[in-house]
Amino acid sequence: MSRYIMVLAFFMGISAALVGQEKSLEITAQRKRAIDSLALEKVRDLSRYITLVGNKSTPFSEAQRVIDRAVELFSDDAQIGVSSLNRREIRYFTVRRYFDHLMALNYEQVSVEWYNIQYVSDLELQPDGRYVGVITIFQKFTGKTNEGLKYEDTTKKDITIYVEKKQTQIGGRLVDYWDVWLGDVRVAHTSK
Amino acid sequence: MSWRGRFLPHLIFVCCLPWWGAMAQSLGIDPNREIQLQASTKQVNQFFRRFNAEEGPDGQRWYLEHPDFRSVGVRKKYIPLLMDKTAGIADSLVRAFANEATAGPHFLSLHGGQFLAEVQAVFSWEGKPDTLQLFLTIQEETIGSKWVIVAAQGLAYLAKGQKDTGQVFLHPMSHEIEFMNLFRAFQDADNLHSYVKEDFQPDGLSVLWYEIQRKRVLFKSVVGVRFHCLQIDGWYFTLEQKLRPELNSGWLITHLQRQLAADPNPVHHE
Repeated sequence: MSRYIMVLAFFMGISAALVGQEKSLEITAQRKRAIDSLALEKVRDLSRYITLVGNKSTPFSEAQRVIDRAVELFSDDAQIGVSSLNRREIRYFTVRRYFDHLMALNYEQVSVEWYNIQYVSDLELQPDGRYVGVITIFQKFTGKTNEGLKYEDTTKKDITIYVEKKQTQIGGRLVDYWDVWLGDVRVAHTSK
Repeated sequence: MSWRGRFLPHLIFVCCLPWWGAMAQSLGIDPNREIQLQASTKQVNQFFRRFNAEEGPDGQRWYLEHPDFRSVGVRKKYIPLLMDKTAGIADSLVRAFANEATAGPHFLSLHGGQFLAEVQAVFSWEGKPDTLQLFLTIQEETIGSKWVIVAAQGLAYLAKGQKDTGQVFLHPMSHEIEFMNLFRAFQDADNLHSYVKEDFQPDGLSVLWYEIQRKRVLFKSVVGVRFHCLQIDGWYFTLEQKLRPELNSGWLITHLQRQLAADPNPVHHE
């Protein structure tokens, strides 16, 4: 009998711990809005860095500094997967290689503009306790060659965001905060 | 306030047009394109929200306290807009679907089960490319959830030699010679089907698993994704992304059919 009670208590303990863990990980609608703006801030930083690196008038050393900052927005293993209307197969780049590629594009003039459209998904809880979501933005790219040839495309960028509850010590007190960083990015051409 | 009173003032294509136009012009981009992108169903998540009437026409997330959250009237307007206009789905079928989907508490959810992802993926098999279909479902975990691969189909080399010619077999007295003639079966890869039970289908996922472990197969790329949904009672539909410069774009229903009782899983009949 006592063994039965012990087993029952053990399972009840585990259940209570799991419920407690789930509860502490819950995100209210208000909190979600705050996290969304934090995530959108990071995405805006990324957009700014893409525009700067794509701009031919940005000096090389400045572009390198910007690339370093851009890489810091992402998790270490993040990949950028690019496909086009003619080529459905995804080509994978590390964040740094993607930016290097953007910098090396063979156009005399490049313009990168952003549509005023963002879509922020719901956040889903992963098995490791972090939340994951996706923010979608659209970019218009225009490149002109020396000979005056113009290339134009619009790309859809689906950017993974990770959200994790962390703690920091402020004045001897432990304070909770939500950390947001970027993960894999899917880049698809929507039109020429 | 009536549905029209609340909903119409927000209609994207009419009321927000001047604001978007001004915004787009200030950025030097085509305002019409921006309106198309706003109308486009940009994520599967947005498809769910629109289908369930959990977001406004201005893209704002609606929560429980919003007067139109999951409103039948809004859903009946949204659902027909989520059909791929180029897919040739009959209007009468769409109307019936919208009526039945809104008749009861039928809402779509990533965690509602009966939602299968089909991924076209290219693998390299000993240097040669082969496109497979991987099927994935959401698996609930102690904490959170994850997508898991449940099946793999389309391995080209598995499709070879799948006809029983009737010319080769393990004869019915093989047991008396302790099946020593099995050597014949396993030396004859092209006719292997003649030696196994007639309804045998090689399990693609097990083969892929084995070949990946042996490092004879390399993943190359994803080339397409679609979803099969059976969450609305009596209906089956597929969901695909249509990237095109139109209002009717993004994640849309590309195939819709009534699900008959005798046809529990139309996915397998494709």
